This record gives sequence, structure tokens and C-alpha cells, in this order.
Amino acid sequence: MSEKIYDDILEWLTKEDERFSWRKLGLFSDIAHEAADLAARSLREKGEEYSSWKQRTLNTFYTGKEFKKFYKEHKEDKLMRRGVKSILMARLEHLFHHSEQTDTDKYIAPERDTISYSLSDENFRLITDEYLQNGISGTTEITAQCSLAIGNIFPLSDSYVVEHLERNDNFYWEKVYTRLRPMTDGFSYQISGTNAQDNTYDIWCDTCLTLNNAVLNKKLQQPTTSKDIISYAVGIIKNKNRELLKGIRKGGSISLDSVAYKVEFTQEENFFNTEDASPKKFSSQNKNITNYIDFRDEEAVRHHMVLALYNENHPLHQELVQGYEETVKMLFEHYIDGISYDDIIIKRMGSLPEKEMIKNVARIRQEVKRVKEKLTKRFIKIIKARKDE
Amino acid sequence: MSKHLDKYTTFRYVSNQLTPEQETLVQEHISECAKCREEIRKYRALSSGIGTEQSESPSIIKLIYKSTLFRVAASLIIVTGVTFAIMNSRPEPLPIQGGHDSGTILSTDTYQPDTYQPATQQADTTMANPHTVDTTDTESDTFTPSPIYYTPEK
Repeated sequence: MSEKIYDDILEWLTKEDERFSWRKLGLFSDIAHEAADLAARSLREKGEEYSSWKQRTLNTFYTGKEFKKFYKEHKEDKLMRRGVKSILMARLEHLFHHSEQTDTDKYIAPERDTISYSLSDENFRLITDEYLQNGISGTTEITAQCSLAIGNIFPLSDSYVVEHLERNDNFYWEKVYTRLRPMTDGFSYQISGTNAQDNTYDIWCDTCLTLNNAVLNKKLQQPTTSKDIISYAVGIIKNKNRELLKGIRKGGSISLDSVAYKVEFTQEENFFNTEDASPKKFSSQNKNITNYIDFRDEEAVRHHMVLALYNENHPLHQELVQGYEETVKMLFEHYIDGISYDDIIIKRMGSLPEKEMIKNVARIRQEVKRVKEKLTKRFIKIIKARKDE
Repeated sequence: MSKHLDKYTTFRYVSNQLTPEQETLVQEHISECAKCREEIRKYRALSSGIGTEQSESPSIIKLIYKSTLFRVAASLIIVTGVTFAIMNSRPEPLPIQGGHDSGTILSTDTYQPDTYQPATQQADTTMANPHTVDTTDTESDTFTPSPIYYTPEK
């Protein structure tokens, strides 16, 4: 058995375990042992593609593990479902980035986000119930079934999305509201010259409530499209701003000349996912990377934090580690470089008497433990603040 | 994929955000590239190191504090203690002096305690005579550490 084959197979199994938590679910317990066993049985044939070799090897592995039976027993498990969901999400994201923009996304999806390729809980349940029932022989088949389901269901049609909005489905409404936020900022600045966050926030809230009420009560022309919805929303924003403008005129606190100048180049079309409507231009959406973190998923939050922590160029890195630089350095040394706490102490303070050493090791162990908690709390605070901005 | 993986791809690979096909491309790359393989290892190590915070088993003391049995026992002790305190604070019923019915119980409002004897009376007397020498204390020169602060040498 060559070392390289073993390394490759070890990586595949590690990745499979990372996605589906096989060890926690009890499919196997020792990855290294499984990899060694598989490497002895599955050599790469001459001229065989890397992907084909991987697929063949993993199929052998799952057959040997009687995966069909295992899947039947664990298909409802939270960890198994999380693995399936991650495949669906990754595939949908890929599809979104490589497909032509749909009308639904053009009009009512948040910037750089999608409604047409978004996975609601309802659709996830539909896919697992209809496409991923019994008879699954391995992860290759799970992937294939996910692809089949996505091909049949996505992109979601405009009428499907509107119907769910009319049923007050918050999954879709949340995206519409997010879309309206920078639009409100943009129109408010153009029409009434205001960029005060308090004013635009009030207008945005009013717009969301009025729009929701109108769609639920079917006040828009029938059948309604996403373009009708956004046009109605724009109408509300304009009216609210005119009211605001009247108030400003009376108060005389802002020069009307400057406001009139800004109104001149207002073009509604500019606000439909074009560069002019780019979130970069509006402070509320300035750092919107945080909008895509699923706060319900503890692991997703942790992964994003590790990305910010590990990557010095990450926009949140400095803010995250500020004040904890030295402890973070020790945390890296311990977890990444595998240096023991004793060696970390020796590196910093030289050789110490036994008692001193024990005391210092306990101290930095505690410091590292505390900094992990603090960083997690701080990261959540940072991203929530940006999300709520 | 001739160049090295960027950190964002590494992050997406480890956090399951790549499609299985993209994953295979990354694996094919790291099969040949030791540097990227090492980056992925580092990222994983850090991620699982941070993750142990949530999965770390709580200390036995915390487990005891959190256990239902402990809470029930603590509640019982508190309830018993409070009941005992209430019972003891209630004065003994006094018979009516000179009354016809000496068995009648008076209400607590009419209770007058007996003459008050301060517990520190003896100490006060000693304080008043600072030169008094207590000859019974034969071990006054010997220092006996308080057991609370005494830490035996290992």
C-alpha cells in the first residue's frame, strides 16, 4: 500500500465524516483504520480518472458497510439531514451563480442573493420525503438524488414565490424585506435628500408592513408578479418620502435646491440590481457578508469565526482579535502547530521549576479556554451588529 | 488547479460549502500539493480546537449542581430549615397569671421576654481589666495554624 493512496483515501473519508458525521452516527469509529483497510483493497487502475477512482472506492466502502440498512435507520437523524442539506445548499448556490438571473431575483431578491434558488424548510422536507427515502446505497447516490430533485424543483417559479408571499410565508418575506432596505435608502436619498438612518428606517418599516398587508389581502392586480410587488413597494416609498419632503419644506431645515437637484436624475430602473443600487453604496448593507450566516447553525457560526480568526486579511479579523492577540497566538500554536502548553511556556519563559511550570500551564490553559469563549461571543456580537445595522 | 487554494476555498471545503464535484477537484489538488494539504489540516485543527468548547464535558461539580436530585434535595433542605426557623422563633405560650383559666394561650403580641442577658458579658468584664492574666492558657506560646489556611507541603 503506498503512502499516497492511503493519504488520499484518508482525506476522502475525513471529508465524508465531516459532512455526514459518520463517526457520531456510528458508521465507523476509526478513520485511519478504515482508510488503511480500504487503501489495501482499492488501488488506482492505470489511466483511471481521479474522480472515477474516488467514486469506485467509496462505493466499495459503503457497500462493505451495508449502507442501505444504515441509511434506513438514520435517515431522520439531525446529523444525516444536515449533511444532505449541505449538499443541496452547495449545489443550489453553484446553480445560482451559473444561471441567468430570474425575474423573481431581479425584482425582489436581496442583492447578490436569491429567492429562486433558495431552500425553504418546506422544500427540504419535500426533497427528503420524495427523493431520499429507502434504497440509498452511498453518498454518491445521495448526491445524485439531490441533483435530480434540484433539477425538478428549481428555479422556483415566480407564481410559486408570489403564492407563498400571499400565504405570508416568512421565509420569502424576509428576503423581500431585505431587498427593500437598500432601495428605501436609495430612493429616500434621491427624493427627499435624507440619508438619516432613523428616517429611512421608519419609511422601510412602514413600507414592509403596508406591502405585506396589500399582498396578503390581494390588493395588487391579479395574477400578481414579483414586478408588481416591487412596483407597489416603490410607490409606497415614494409617497412616504413626499410626505417627509412636505415636512422638510415646512420646517425649512434643508435647502430645497439641493433636494431638487437630486430628484432630477432619479431613474427607477436604476434600482433593480444594477451598480447604482449596489449595497456598497448604502451603509445599511455595507458589510452584508453577515446576512448569509445561519445563526441557528452553531457549526456555521463557528466556521465563519474560524475563517475570520485564521485569515489576517479578513475584514473582521482585527476587530475580532483586538486585545487578545497574545492568547490567540498561543491558541494557534496549541491547536494548529500542536505545541503542548508546557512547550509554549518554555518558549516564552524558558525552563521553570516544576511548581512554577504547573502553575503557568494551568494559567494559559485557562486563558486559552476563556479566549475561545470570548471570541465566540465577540464574533456573534460583531456579526449581529452588522446584520442589524 | 495549478495554483494554491485560497483561504476562502479552504474554508468552504472544510465547512461543506462546496459541491461534491468541487470537493473532488480540491482533493485531487491536495493529493499533489503538500502546502494546501497542510493549510487544510491547520484549518481543521483550529476549527475542531475551537469547537471543543461546546462539546467539552462539563465538570462533575457542574453536573451535580445541574442534577434534578441535587435541586430537589436542596429545596427540601431549604424548606426544612425555614420551617424549623419559623417554629423556633414562635414563643412559648405563657399562662395567664392569676387568671381563672391558666391554660388560656396568650397571643404573641403580649409576650414580654425575660430579662435580657448579653452573651458578651464575660468578655466585657475582661476588657475592663486588661491586665488580668489567664493562667489556664498553657499553650499560649504555641502557634496552631487555622485548618482553613493550612496547606500541607506536597
